[in-house]
Amino acid sequence: MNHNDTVYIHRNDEHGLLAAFVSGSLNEDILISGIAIPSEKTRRGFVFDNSIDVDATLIIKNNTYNSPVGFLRDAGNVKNAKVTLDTTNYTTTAYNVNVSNLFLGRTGSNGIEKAEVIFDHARAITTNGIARDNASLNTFIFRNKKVSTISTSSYMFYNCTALNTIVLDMPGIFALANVNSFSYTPFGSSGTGGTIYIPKALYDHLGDSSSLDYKAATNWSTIDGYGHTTWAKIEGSEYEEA
Amino acid sequence: MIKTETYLINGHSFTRTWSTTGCVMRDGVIYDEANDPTELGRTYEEVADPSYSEEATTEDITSALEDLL
Repeated sequence: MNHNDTVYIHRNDEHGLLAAFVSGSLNEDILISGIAIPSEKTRRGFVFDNSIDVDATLIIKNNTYNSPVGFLRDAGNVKNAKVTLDTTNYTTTAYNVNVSNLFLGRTGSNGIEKAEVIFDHARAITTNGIARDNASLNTFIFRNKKVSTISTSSYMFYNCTALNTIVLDMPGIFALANVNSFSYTPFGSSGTGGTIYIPKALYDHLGDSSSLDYKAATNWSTIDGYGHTTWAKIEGSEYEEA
Repeated sequence: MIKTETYLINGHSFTRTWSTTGCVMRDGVIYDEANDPTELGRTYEEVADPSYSEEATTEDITSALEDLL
C-alpha cells in the first residue's frame, strides 16, 4: 500500500483500520483523530509496524484512550517522525499519558532519525522505553509549553547509541525518573558526547543550584557529572520554533 | 525502606537514594531512584510505584506475552 496524499483516520475504532499501514510507503501527513481505542491490544497500534517508509507528521488528537503505545514501533524507514499528542479528550488517568515504546527499535535499528513529540496538556508521562534500543535515532525533540513539570519513567533512551541531540522545550525541569534513561547513549558514563537544548530561561540558571538548574536537578546532575553533556539554548538554534 | 549510598563521578560526590519496595518522592515528583550531588543533602519519602498494579488483567498478560515474541 502506497500513500502519497494526506491520510485521515477519523472516528474509527476497528483494529483493522489502525493496522492499515503495515507495509508500503507513506510520504504525507497523517491525522489520527476521534478514535476510541477500546483495548490494550488495539491501543498498541502497530500503525507503522515493520516495513513502511514514513516521512510524515503523525497527529494523534481527540482520542479517548491515553496510551498510544508503540505507534511507531519497529517502523521500517521512518526518517522524521513528528508526533503531536493532544490529550484534551483522554479519559483515562487524566493528563497522564503513556507513550511507552513509542519509537522502540526492537531490532536494533528501525530507521527513525529524528523524533519530535508534542504533548498538549499532559502533566505526567509514562515514557518507559520511549525510544529504547533505537539505534538510528539521533535527535529527540520534546515540547510541552503548557505545564511546568513533567514526570517520566525509566529507560527513556536506553541503548539509543546514536542519540546525540535532545531538545527539552518546556518551561520547567523535565523530571528524569532514573539515570538508566541514558545508559548506553552518548550522554552516559562511557558516552562520546551530546548536546541538550533547553530554553534560555533555564540555561541562564545552569550552575546556580536553584530549582531551575538542570546541572543540580535530580538525576540530571549525574548525567551532567559524566562530563559528556553540552548544554545549549533553544533560542537562536535550529530547534527554535518559528 | 529507603536506602542511600554515595559514589564519586569525576571526583564529585553523589548520593543515590532508592526504595526497597517502591519509588522515592520529593516535592511531589516521583523517581525510580534519585541521584543528587551529595552536598545538596536532599531527602526523599518512600511512595508506592505508580506503575505497579496488584492485579494483572488478561490484556496485561497477553501484552506481556506478545512482548516476548
